Amino acid sequence: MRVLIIDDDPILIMVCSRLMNITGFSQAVASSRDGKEGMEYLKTCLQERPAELPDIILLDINMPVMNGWDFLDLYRNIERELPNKICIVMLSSTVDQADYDRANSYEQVRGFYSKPLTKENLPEIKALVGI
Amino acid sequence: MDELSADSIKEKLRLLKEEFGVEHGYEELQKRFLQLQAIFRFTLDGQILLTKSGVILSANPAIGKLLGYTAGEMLEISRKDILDESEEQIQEMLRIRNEKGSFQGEIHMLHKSGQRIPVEISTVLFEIDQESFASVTVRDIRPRIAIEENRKKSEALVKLLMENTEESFFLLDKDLNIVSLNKTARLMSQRLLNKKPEPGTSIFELAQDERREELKELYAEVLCGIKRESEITIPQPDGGYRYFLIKYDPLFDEQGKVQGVFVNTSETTAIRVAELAFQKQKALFESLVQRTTDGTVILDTDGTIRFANDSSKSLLGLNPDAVVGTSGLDLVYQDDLKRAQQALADLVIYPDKPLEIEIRLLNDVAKPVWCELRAVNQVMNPHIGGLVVHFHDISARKAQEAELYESRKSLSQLLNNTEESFILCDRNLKVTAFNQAASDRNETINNRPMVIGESLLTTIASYRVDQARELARHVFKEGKSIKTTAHHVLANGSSMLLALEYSPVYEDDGRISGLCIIGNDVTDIRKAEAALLSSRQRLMNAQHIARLGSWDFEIESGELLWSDEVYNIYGLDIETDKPSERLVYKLVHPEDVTPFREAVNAVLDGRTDKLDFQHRLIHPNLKQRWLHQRGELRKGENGKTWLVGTVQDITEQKAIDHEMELSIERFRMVEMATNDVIWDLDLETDQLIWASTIERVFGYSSKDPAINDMRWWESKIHPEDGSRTFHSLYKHQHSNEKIWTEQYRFLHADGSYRDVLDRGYTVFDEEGKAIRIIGSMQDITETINQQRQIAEYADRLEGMVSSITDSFFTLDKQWRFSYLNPVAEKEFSVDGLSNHNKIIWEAFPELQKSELERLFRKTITGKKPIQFEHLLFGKWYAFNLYPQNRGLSVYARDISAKKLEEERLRLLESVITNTNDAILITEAEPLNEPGPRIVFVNEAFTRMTGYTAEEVLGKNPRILQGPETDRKVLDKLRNAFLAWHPVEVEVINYCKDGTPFWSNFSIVPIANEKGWYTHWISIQRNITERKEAEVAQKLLNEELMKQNYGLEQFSYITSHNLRAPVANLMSLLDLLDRQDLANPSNQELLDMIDLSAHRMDETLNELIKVLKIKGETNPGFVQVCFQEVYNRVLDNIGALLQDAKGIVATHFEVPEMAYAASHIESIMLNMLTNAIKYRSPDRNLMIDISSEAKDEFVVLSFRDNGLGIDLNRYKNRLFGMYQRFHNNADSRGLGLYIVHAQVQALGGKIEVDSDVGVGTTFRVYLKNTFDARINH
Repeated sequence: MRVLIIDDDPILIMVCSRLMNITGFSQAVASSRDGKEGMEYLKTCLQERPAELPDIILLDINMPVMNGWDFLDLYRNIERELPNKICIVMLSSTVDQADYDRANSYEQVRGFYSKPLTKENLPEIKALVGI
Repeated sequence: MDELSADSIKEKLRLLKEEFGVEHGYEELQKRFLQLQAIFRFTLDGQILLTKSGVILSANPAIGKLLGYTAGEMLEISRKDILDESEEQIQEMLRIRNEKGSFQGEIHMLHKSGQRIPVEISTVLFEIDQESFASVTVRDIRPRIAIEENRKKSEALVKLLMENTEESFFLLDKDLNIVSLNKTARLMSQRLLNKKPEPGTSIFELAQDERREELKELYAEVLCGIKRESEITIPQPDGGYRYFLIKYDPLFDEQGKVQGVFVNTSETTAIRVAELAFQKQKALFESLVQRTTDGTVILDTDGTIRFANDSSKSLLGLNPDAVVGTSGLDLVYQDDLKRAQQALADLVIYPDKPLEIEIRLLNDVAKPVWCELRAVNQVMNPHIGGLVVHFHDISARKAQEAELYESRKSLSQLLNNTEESFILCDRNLKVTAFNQAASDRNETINNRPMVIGESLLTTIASYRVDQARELARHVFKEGKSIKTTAHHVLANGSSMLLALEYSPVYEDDGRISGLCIIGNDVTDIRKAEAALLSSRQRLMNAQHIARLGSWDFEIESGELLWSDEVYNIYGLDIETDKPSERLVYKLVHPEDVTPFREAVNAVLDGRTDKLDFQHRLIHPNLKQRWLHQRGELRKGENGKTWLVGTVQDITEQKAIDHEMELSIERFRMVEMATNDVIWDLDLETDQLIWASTIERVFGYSSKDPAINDMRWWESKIHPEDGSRTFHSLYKHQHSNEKIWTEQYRFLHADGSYRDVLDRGYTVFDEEGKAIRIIGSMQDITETINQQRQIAEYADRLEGMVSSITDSFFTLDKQWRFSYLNPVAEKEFSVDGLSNHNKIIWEAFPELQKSELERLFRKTITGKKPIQFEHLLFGKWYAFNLYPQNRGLSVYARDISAKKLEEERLRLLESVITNTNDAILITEAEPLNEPGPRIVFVNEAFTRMTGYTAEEVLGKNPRILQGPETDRKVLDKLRNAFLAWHPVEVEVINYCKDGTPFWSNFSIVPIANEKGWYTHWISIQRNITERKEAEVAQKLLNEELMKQNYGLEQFSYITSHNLRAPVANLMSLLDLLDRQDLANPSNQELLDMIDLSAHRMDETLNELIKVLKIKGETNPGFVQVCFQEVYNRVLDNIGALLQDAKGIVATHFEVPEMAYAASHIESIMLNMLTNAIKYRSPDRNLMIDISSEAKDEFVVLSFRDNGLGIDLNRYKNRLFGMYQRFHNNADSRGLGLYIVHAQVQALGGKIEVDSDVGVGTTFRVYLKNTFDARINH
């Protein structure tokens, strides 16, 4: 299972990748600091190493440079070119219902989790992959 | 009876001649001879000289002609051969003659053919040398008898016609006294006028008093020869009227003077009543439709064709559409143009005088076609407004007329003088006509008959052909008459001497069209002359009997000689009066003198060769007499010229002729006045004689002999009517009835059947046997059609009237209901019983003395329609009253519902007037300029806008609009108007004084009963107060929103900026290896835990700061100097700025202001920190700080040349809490939020301009309105 975490909080990235390593959820966790970097990562993979394309993306909403929503809009444009669909899961500390509703309106988004991510969340996320 | 031998008479005549010769010489004898010859030639009476015993010695040509003998034969027969009377009667006649010396009487003579001829004879005995001779003058009285019979017959016809018609006739003399009148006239006068007119009384005694003056003028015109018509209306006791059309025709004598008046009255009531009803349709109908076979055009007064019917196409081949707009005169043949122009002018100038004219019109191939035009001036008729011209093709008739004219012309030449033979030839010498004398003579001479169409040269004797041809050529060449003589030896060996005259026959235009040959047998004259010379006495007697005098006038000397009878005729004394030209002219009636002189001169000048003139004589003692002068020029052998002639007293003849003419004239007048066709059926021979009117009425030529047969008449009757008509006529003949009447259809020559009314009057002989039926046939097609139309119209009218849903009834003059339509029957009945024929005031006593009665009576007296609304029997009616001749027409519409509606409306109106909402009603259109007009505003409108009703009515509602009126709202209104939708808007309007106010408009379109939108109603309310409240509310809401935003931001902080570090801490602690604290992986986690805890502390400190700003309503205002604050900030961040190699320039235009000092320091610190943080790595940082005053603000501007912000993406979030736009490590997203919160809290704002890669400018607006607080 390959995972890409897009979040501007380095502590969260570190914590999440450790958690996934420990639990055996994934040994290949990549990260990007904002949506723009995430998108560049995906494009590079697609062109150069399609095998390294992630199976799951954990996506934050509030990020500098490019936030999660803008990333999603761009992702929709490249989705067709991908060999397999990527399971996108929102991971945010928002308490605003509007954010949940907005995330629901993207068919690419398969789940929504509040920070912090716990061990208990991981099996659920795994179940979302491949739907 | 002693008989004279022929020889002895001849001897005596010789002696007599010698005697004359001795006394007067040869000259005298020649004169006498000429005189006698003239008498013989000119008298139409037969002259016979015979012995006392009855042997004929001499006879003139007239008697020979009368009795059918040649001159020679006359001398070979005796008295008894020519008298057709019994022996006793002859003896009685001779006895009287012998006793008295003369005898006069009417007897019968015998024609050679055995035919009996009634004659008037006068015979005189005279003696010469003791021998008795008898001279007999014989006058054929058959013409007189015929005239008398005709007169009797035509008088009978006139009488019959006059008595058997429904039209009345009066014949008036020129003093306007009644000469005669018919039965109808008598009855009509009695019934209608209660007068009994009698012949001899004045026509004015019949006149209604009020018409007398008018009639006098009218008759004055008629007596001047003008035909007039008038229509009179006679009120009837039943309240109705009867109408009569009266025609006044002047009767002329032969001099063209009016001698009386023919008055013909016919009743037109039936037609008039119908006319009154459908006058409108009729005007057009009559003028355009009725005469469909006629071409009809309508012209303007200048002749321009405005309309042409289809028949004008069939008649002239012209396309009606093509001629419309062109001049009617263009259609007239050039030669007739002047007459047509004159006729058009007359028609325009005398609009009451219909025009009848025959002219040639051009057809489509420009060929002239003879047409009869009848035109009436209908310019004043509002339905037509032009000249209506009907025309039809009369080429055929014209051709006939021309033919007739030709034949008449020839005929008149032929019949001029029957003693002479006439032959007419055309230019090719083909015989075109000849008279009996010519035929007889030709047979005698050439032993062959004359045939029309044969050449003259084959007809005449062969030995004369060359001479005739030469003569004819000469006549044609010279155009002059040539005289010659021709001697013929007859078959019996006797000879005949003919005096022939070849004359040219002229056309109207002067061309010679033929030749006329006049022949006179001069053989007989020479024989007769001998006999006549024998007795002067006999001559005198003969002249006396015939009242015939002879005269001769020597032209050069002016010497005039008269025979004795001339003195008698002129009433002169033979002893004292000397014949002279002057004396003759003195005796001639003054009016005849000039024409007589002219006639004599014409002979003397050679313009005519015979004198033939009738004139009146002023007799000194006797009544006026008529004389007939005849004469001709004779040349003596000595070169002298005489005018030799006779004068005959024809007074008696004239009187008969005159009477006859009068009678015929009357007959003609009646014929013309009526359209009846007179016929005369001889029951013995079935011969049927028609009056000439048959041609005009039924189109058959009266000259066609075929029509004079009973079977012809039968063949023209419609098969369906035939047997009925024949049967009734047959039955009538065998009854004793005098009058036969039948109505049937009769075939017109044009192929159509006409309805006729035929009335016959049977004439019985002495034994009571019907011998003749005289009848009149009247074309009543039009009447019947009209009746049919009237009936149809009446049906239609009845249908119309009874189908209307409103009440309609008529009242007669006695106020009786004369008609009620079904609705009226229902509404105006009492207990369900019809009120027909009941008097309205009795049927509805409550109406008496009511306003309604007053109005009913007013309508009748005022003769004008009246309309009003009135309450009757609990219902409201709209009454329309129309005065009629026979009473009153009432049209009553039940308007109760309308009245109720009106009441309701009035209530509504009072509500509208009193409501507090302003109400404005406009017409529905136009929506474009100038806009719909205001038709109503109520008082509330005036209160609201200041405009009074008078000021706005007729204007459009735009006057309420002004500069602040929202265009978008007006567009919305307009769209609603276009779609006819109700609409409600709120808009700023303006009062009359210019004050704006908020108005709520509710606008609804109003439709009429048919569903058409007619008006807009707008209800307006002044909502200014509400609007102001709304603005206050909006401000409040904005504040609330602001507060809410703050709260949202706060919750964001709690959710994101506090939860995230806490979540991190929890995750990190979870990963910590608590069993083995010394595990090196723990160290890394502990570092992170430390970092997270510090971050959280910072966040909490900043939050406290934010809360402090938000709660700070009066942060303590002091005079703040910008430069001082900048210096303090620079102390703090100097190192940072130095690291960034930044340069700051300050330019404080406004150096200081009253503000919270801590806020300004915070603003400067944050702005400078941001500029340093987001500086461009590509260039040295430059910061420019300035201050300036703007309105109520002091603006602090911070301009840098850093990275710049993509405002399109981030503008809305720029001042949000924890918004970061750069992945800069120090960025936490609180700085701008805090600055924004601080500025906003004190009423200011922040603006930002930025270009990515160029730099950013922040302008901070600090509100400068807190001076008061400083002092406070």
